[in-house]
Amino acid sequence: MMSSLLRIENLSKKFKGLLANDDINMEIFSGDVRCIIGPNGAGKTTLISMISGHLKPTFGNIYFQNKLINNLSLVNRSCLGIGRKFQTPALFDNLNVEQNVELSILRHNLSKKNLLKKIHETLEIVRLLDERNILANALSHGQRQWLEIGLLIGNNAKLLLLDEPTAGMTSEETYATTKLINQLSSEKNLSAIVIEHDINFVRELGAKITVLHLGKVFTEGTYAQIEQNENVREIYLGKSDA
Amino acid sequence: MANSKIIKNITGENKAALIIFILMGLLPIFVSGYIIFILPQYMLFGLLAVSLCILWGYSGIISFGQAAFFAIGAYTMGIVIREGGAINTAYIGIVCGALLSGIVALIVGYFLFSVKVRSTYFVLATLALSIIVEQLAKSQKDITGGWNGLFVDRITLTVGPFIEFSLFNDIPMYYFVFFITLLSFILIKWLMASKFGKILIGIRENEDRISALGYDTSFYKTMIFAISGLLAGLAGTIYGTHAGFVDPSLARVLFSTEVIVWVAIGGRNSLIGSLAGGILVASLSNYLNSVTPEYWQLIIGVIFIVVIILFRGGLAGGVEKTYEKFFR
Repeated sequence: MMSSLLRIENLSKKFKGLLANDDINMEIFSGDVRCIIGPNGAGKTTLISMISGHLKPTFGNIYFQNKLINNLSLVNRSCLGIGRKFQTPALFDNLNVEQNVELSILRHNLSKKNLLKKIHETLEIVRLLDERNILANALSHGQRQWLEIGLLIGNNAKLLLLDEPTAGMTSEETYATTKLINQLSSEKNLSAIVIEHDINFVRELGAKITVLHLGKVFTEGTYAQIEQNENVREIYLGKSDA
Repeated sequence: MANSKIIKNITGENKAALIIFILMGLLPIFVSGYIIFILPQYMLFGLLAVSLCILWGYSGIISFGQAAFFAIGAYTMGIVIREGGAINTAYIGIVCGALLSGIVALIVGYFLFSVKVRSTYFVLATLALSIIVEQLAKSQKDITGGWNGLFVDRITLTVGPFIEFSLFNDIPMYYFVFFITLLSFILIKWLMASKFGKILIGIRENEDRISALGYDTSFYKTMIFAISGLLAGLAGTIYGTHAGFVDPSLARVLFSTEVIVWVAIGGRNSLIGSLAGGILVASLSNYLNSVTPEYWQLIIGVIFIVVIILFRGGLAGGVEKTYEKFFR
């Protein structure tokens, strides 16, 4: 039996005149990875912000583990297990890698021994053990992205909202990131919603894809299905003249 | 060998603290007179600086209201001693003064932080707080003595019904203030190294990130503001009885600004740096004021600018850099 982790019903967000999200429905189960793609302005980040609690929906409901969370604050939602990685990595720049991760774990009130153990585990997962004493702002782009994912893991997030996790990464790092996300899903039963533009990443990830366009769910399917969909190509590239 | 290993394990900051406290503890053996009379006052200024350090340096919140809390403490002490009471007024004065400042800070902090007032606007609110306290001190003549201020007796500490310890003379007063300073410093040091302190640093570094990790930042900010107010108030209560006199100028914005200068010169990221900043700059101001009454403020201003330009972390940062250069 798969249990529903996140359920979105008729979710809409209106900014003054603009309908940024229009009647979106989605369900994510434990261990699911979902990729959201769509041209600029499709409403991808808006959707993530409503799930994380940064924005309030104009209409519609969000359920996490079958509990309505519309009125929960950002802080309470993170405590439930919704963790967000921002588009530009948000880290504690002047603290070292270990201190960054420590801050995400402190919330669990672990004993000193377990705290150190958990820091070690987390750094191992995101492959930053060797960089543990380096300041966060001295890391490479890719490592910064990973450190922020590490913060979510240390924070015991059950659902990772990853907004462009591979921005600034080399293709090697991008590939490693797809492996990391799939590993977290299969080994730790974590779920993830990933926004990405990099089509190589989307292919490697191999997750179910939701295409957003003008705030609406345009279509859903596997990579192969989406790749062959003429309409998807059209919204990205415009109608071909031929 | 074992000994040197232990010494190596103590951080540079703690070594500096140890040296400063040992020096202050031994000073009355070597000097006497005016210095021993006045130094406790500067230690209290040092504590006041520490109360700003935990706000500004650790949590990234600047306050122009530290003088207000200091004044609330000092006035409370004066009023409690004047009114007298069945139990020793010294303890009541200290406890009430510190608590009252803490509670005022808690209330102000709660209302400002729970509606997410940030940086600039918070500074303005603390400025207003200073002005309000100063105006209250001036206008409530029956309670505060208005412009004329309030005379405050030196307190006598009692333990049980028989043991008395008068702080009328300078040496007992010196050591009393010394121990209060030491104790407060150790407690604050411990607090800042705890989970609470680490989360405050997280708030300073990236408030959006830390709240997205599930920490209620307005709670932490309110608490540190209250603790800061409590500490400033505590320093104020003892200042009142030490100086023997309180007047509305204690709550002036100008005095709050001085606290910021002490902390900036001493090093806002360092507790011992801030404490030393308060003691040194206040001592220096006093000395320069007697040597060259016309130019002393100018000289302090130049020192302020030079330190800010040369050392990013104030004197504490400068000492740390020099130490690393020569000993590593």
